[in-house]
Amino acid sequence: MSLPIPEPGRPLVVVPPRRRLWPRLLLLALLALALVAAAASAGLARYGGSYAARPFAAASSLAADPDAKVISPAAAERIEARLAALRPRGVYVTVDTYRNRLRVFRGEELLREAVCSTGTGRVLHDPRTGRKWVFDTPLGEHPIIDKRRNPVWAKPDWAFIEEGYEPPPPGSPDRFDDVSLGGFGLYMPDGYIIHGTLFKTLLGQRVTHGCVRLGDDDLEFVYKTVPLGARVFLY
Amino acid sequence: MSSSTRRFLWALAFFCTSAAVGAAEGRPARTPEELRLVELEGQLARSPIVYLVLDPAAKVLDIRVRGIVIERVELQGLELLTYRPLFGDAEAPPLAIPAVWTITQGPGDTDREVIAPVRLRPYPKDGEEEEEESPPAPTPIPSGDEGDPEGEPRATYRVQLDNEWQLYVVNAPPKLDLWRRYLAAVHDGWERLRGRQPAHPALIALVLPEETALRLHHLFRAKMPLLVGDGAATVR
Repeated sequence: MSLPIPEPGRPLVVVPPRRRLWPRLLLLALLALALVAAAASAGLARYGGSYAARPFAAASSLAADPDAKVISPAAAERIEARLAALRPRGVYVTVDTYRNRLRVFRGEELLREAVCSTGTGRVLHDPRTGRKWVFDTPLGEHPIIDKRRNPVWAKPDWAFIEEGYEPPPPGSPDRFDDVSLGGFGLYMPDGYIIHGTLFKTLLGQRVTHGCVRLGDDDLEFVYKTVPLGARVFLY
Repeated sequence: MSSSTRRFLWALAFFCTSAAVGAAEGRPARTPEELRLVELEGQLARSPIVYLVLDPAAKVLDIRVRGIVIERVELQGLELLTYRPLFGDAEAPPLAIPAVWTITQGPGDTDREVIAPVRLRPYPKDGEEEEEESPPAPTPIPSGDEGDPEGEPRATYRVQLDNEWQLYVVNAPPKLDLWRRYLAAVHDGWERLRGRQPAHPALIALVLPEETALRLHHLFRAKMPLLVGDGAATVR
């Protein structure tokens, strides 16, 4: 910008350039907004709360209860002896229902590891009666109470309802299936069986109604190795 | 009783007492907490159920049946998360160990797939042809699950316990620096201002790898007991 050249004898008058006001106003407004937001968030934070972490620390349940009675060391040893006696001797089976693996042990020795199938965890509703079935493989310790060659499956109601059929009357020949369970069956309480399958490609998946399915070779090994009364640990 | 028999019995009693004292001296005296742990596990092992044992000191979680360790999981971290004002003290339910806590709701308890046939048809006799090509198939019923849309369980989840605490299974230690806590507190305050009362249960965070978290997701079920105590993994 060029300044005007004053005429000789006249004072120099410099008119300052007109300052723009809006950037300042904008800055001021932003500052005010930030202040309000900060104050509001501080107020909200004061009104609310959040999670804070600290290392796990718990009081002693015995210190909290002065009348609490504790067993004697001798009683503790008796309990430990009982626990030790519960350890499986001889052949026993574990079934990992998450990874679908069945293992046969003799003491600490692993005799066989097999891919199996376990329960889906699905729930089936009967549209007529409202009954429902949960297709879980039960967890915990279960004994082998029976062993059969060429087991016959007495199909329960859910086997028909699941396929959309009305269940035949009890004792009907339609209820008996001598193919689906394979060549061997090891029976646990409540109708849960370790048995074979026609659907071998599904081994390793949770697809059953609660039973444990095995391939033919593994099933034969388990049938021949695991005696009646052996314990099965499902977890 | 003859004098020789009496001498023999005295000698036997002395021998047994000496042996017992010697055996007792061989191992350090047990604390009341250790004795309580043995007592509680003895009670759990009476039944054939699967139970869990959490040892906070060793950062170990055991899957056990009948006192037998079926599988042991090493925890990458164990923390207590309690809701508290940004500047103030936390309010949390009491937490005392050794104790047996019970799961009241597992993470998978509510996300089971429910199937139900629309209607049932008579079972066809041998040689009898069906009126239709195939029977009506069971219909999956949405169950309001907490899993992802594909039905797979999440590796981060919560397990409700009967002591008002929740197990919070995560795959990395929770990040709760001051800035994150401030943002969470602002959000919480906003929710409260709107009349909502967000639930903030006290949490016991178990830091586990994703695979292990999924494995335990399958296991945490309602009514499953959890024995908790320092030294629980090694007391026996």
